[in-house]
Amino acid sequence: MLDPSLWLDQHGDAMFRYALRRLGDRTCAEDAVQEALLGAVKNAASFEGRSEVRTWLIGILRRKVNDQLRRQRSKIEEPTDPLEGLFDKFGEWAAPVGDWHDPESELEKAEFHKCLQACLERLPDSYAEAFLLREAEGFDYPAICDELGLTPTNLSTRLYRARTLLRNCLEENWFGGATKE
Amino acid sequence: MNLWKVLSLSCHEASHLASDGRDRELTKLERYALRAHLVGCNRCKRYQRHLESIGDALKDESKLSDEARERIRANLAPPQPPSEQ
Repeated sequence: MLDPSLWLDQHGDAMFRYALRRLGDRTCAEDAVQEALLGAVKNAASFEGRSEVRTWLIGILRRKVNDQLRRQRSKIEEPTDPLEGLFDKFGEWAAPVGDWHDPESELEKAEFHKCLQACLERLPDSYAEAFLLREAEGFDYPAICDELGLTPTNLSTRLYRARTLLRNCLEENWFGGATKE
Repeated sequence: MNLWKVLSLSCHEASHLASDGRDRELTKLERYALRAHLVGCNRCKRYQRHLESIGDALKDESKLSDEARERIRANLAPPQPPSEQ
């Protein structure tokens, strides 16, 4: 049933979280949610019911967010091998993997989130969108492959790279390169 | 995955499996291989824990503000025809 107000109530917060993590700004995220819902109303006839409403709406939002990011910045080239240098020729870690302590106080948690957000914004777009659809929205493999036009093997590689780049970025920036073992 | 691989997983392969394990059920051999590798590898054990911390941190509850929600709702509403006097 076409009821955009219901979409806003049922999926608005999830859409907002996705947009906020991609864009890093509440106002831009709110605008993207509004644009996506207006777009959904306009194209409601194209909703074939093949997927869940949430999946369909997030798909529209994803494209709006990408449009916004393209307007904001020049294209960030996807590195050919973003994990280059991370492993030696035997496939073992080339550098130590630090012993993090999980953030405990509210202040530490807030700082950790801030750092995570900054690291998310540094990810190549194609990694960030796959990663957030999986980890934040909880989409399963078939839904993400369908949405992004990927094979399961490509998606596995993309998620692995996204997680590893994020982990490295956090280790460098949140833990200040604390790599004692 | 063959038996030799189960016993000789590299960190590169183990960390990729640790990532896959967050998205799908690993096969029995993959599970054995990863478990065997983690027994002797602190770096990969930490890598796996770090992925959990990152995943947990993404489960926050940010919401649209009431103001934004109402603004969006108003913009979604079809325009009302002018009332006849």
